[in-house]
Amino acid sequence: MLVRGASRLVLRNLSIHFAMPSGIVRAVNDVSISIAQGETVGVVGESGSGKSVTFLSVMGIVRAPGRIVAGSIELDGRSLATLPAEELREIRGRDIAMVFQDPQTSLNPVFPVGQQIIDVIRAHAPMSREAAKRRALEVLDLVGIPEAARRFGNYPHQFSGGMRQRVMIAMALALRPRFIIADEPTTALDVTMQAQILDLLQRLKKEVNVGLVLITHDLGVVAQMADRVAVMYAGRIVEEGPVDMIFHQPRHPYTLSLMRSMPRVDTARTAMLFPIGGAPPMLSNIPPGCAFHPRCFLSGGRAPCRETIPALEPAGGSVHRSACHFLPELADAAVRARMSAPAAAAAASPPSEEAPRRPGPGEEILRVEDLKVHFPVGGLALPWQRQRIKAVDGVSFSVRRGETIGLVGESGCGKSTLGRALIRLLTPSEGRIQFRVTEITHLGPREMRPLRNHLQMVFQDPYASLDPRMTVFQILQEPFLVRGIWNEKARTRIVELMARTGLDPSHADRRPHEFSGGQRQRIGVARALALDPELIVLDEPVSALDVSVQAQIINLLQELQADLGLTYIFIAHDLSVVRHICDRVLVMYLGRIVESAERDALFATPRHPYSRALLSAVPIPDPDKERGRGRIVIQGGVPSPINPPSGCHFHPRCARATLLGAAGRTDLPLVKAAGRPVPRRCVEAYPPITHNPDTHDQACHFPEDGPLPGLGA
Amino acid sequence: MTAGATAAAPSLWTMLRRSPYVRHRGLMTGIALTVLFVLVALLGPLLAPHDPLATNLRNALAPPGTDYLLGTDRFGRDVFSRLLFGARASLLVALSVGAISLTCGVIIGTAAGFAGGWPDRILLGLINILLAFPGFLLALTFVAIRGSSLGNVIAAVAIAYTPRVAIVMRAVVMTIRPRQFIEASYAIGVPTLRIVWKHVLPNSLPPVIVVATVSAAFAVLAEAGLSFLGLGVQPPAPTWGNVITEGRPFLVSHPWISLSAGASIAAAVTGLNLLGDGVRDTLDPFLRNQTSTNIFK
Repeated sequence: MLVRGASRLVLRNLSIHFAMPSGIVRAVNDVSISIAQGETVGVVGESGSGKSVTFLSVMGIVRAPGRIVAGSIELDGRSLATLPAEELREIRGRDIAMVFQDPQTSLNPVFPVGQQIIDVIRAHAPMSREAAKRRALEVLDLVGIPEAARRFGNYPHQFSGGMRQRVMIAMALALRPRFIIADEPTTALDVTMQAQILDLLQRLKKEVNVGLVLITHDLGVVAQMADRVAVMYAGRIVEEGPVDMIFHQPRHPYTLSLMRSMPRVDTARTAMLFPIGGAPPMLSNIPPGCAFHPRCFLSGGRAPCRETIPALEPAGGSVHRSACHFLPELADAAVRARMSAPAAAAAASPPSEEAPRRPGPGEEILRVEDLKVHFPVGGLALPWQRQRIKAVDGVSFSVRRGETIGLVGESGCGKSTLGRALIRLLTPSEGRIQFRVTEITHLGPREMRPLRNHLQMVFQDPYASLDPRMTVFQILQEPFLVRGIWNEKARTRIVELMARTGLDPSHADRRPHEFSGGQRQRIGVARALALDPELIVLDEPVSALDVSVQAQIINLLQELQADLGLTYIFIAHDLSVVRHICDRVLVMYLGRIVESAERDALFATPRHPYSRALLSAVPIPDPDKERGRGRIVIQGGVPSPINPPSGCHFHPRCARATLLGAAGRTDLPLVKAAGRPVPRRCVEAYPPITHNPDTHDQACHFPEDGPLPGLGA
Repeated sequence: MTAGATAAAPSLWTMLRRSPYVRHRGLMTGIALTVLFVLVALLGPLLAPHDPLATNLRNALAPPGTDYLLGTDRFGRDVFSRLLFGARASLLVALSVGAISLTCGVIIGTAAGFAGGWPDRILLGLINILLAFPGFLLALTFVAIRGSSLGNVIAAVAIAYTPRVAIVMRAVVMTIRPRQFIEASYAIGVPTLRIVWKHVLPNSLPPVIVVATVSAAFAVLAEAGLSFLGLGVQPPAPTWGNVITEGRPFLVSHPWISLSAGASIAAAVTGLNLLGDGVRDTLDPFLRNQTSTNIFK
């Protein structure tokens, strides 16, 4: 990987602190790492691990009150930290470029994208407008913007999220930088878009020979992309090494725990996850000694862990380094065995090896028939001229008691709308919903209220779903209050609920902002449980949480389901979590269910081309599997649900249709769609749902057979 | 309580010094000026050295001195005493206008913002019609039609400033309504009125209280302005506006009359404004948390 004469970006003993009124926030502590041109370094860590700040400092954009208190940043031996602002500006963009997380906000909405790229080029290079424009077109082409010349004058809002991120990458590439720092470049994108962007970055790295720093919380992305990996915790690098060693022989308890706490899309695991107890520390209050020791399964509270900060030392080869006092023990087979034994697995809540047993699915509890939820758009237009967003457009399924149904699809596929309509937070336009024996499709708020005891919801964002001005007690009391229960029984029940969901009942008088994300989600779960519901719609309940905390909530949800016989409808875009928790999965695309199947059947042999593309886009946290994997990358983004494509809504992006169109079969009449020949049937008729003996219901004219490579059980 | 615990607990003085309210200089100045304003209004009659209406033509236009602290006007009335009494009218107008515009504005704004759709468009239309006129002009017209009395002045200024509160309230409610905790309340079956009362109102009041405080400050100005034009409280009743009017012909030769009244108005208005700003800065846990934790993203 290392080329002689290649450029090198070196951080040496870097420490960055923020002097806040409440105390010093130690965001980066003694971080040393070097990146060579042509290699990809993955920097992994949870939120608040200091990974973003570390590399923002390279760009010289750490803002006051943040300050580099020690160490240096060198580009080919030239120190950047002490450079005058004007010279640093020269380097920024020309030698080192940055791609940010949110492509919505990192482009200026009032200038055409082409203009913005030209501005970047001309700020650094004495180039005529024409030359700059040529270069801009060149890079837009390079990053795969179709018809770059035509889209040159378009404004950012005219691009989809994935396309905007391509524009950002084009901008970063415009001046042929030697290094690109990508800060969570795909976190805001759908898994299909993520696959496209990662694909692009991989290709660019080979073509233009840049050093890529990939900052992410997703171990799967790292396994797919990185040559080398640095794992950060509480502002320090705790482990660093080649990607294979990190994934196959992790030498730090944190890395190990992290990998064990993640559900994986490539394994059908029925066991509980191994969560890491507690939450990542606040950077203003880092535990003394090894910052990880309070959550560490190995430490056991020993003195060195509590007192001394471990140094990053070679661990198995000179290129693999780890910062742990008891490194030899980690290699010890006995410890490894103990670690996988349930009792010692987690510091806080020891999970059992087997998932809690629950009875098989019971009677039908919810029945949905041809449900449609349409929203009018264009409020100022006359009512009969308004267009309608067909968020949910004809969906039928049924749910049995005790089941967990997964609802998956890209954003904009209507899964959240469907979930809200099911518990009547929205009124459906057509179709019917039947809960037990009651039809609830058109019940008014008053008639719905008694039924809300049984139908509950846990929301995605634990920060936004709790009233910031109420205490936990008030939040949990509300369901009882509005039903006229304010006696001692409600109080006892609240204490019970808090204990049941893993909250300390003595914290009842605190407000939501005093809790961590994971704890807040526990409050959300407790509120949903307050009235002894039967069915809970879980709307991405763990997607806003850190990896190590996700497992805690997932385990909690599974325990509660086993104990209380709950039925879940689990809305998610993270297919690994879906594979872990769901019994049946419904795949949605543009308001319709394109495939529904038992969990294992779907993951082993997805039949609809969209399901296959979705599954194949999920990165697997295993570098070997990633390398051997063929990926079905679908092009473009989700079309507008106002005017969905004719026939099968998926045909413009469908890889199967492309393949059939190119196969030259004489028995198949073709038409041209989205710039390629596809079977005429795909464009003309929406495929009927076919029922298959192996429990796959799917809606494709030409379903696929056979397993998807890389996702074996 | 043990001795150790007492020693460890910070003294009242330390706690005060560290409190975010005390550290906010603007808020402290605002509170000081407002308290002074209220005290003067309440205790004015006790403090006043002279009868504010008693004329003494022999002492007309006396300069500030030991007997007449701020001098006298052309009828020989003590300016200082007139200002002390005048504070009552100003305070009454400020409080009433603040309270009325807050109440009406919050009700109208909440109704418009929460209901949305046609109710919102109708209410917004009305608000916009009122906002199209300069507030003072609106008050002037009202008093011109209804006649000048303290009650009418209050009503006039309240009508002029209610739309301002309402439009801010509407905007804030519209940002609160789509938030997830409102949806979560629906999901557990909370009736709509209770959602408005328990979730929407507490979360949208802080910025509106600031606007109401500012409208109270403007009410002081508007009352003085109307009095100055002879449309407010009728002379010889002492109000700050009246004192300025009476001093106007002597602005060059005997500036203390108008200047001292002007300074009183300025102090009261500044105090109320600072109070409003300070309350917004310190009372809102949102703003506080956002500035202290959200430094990395």
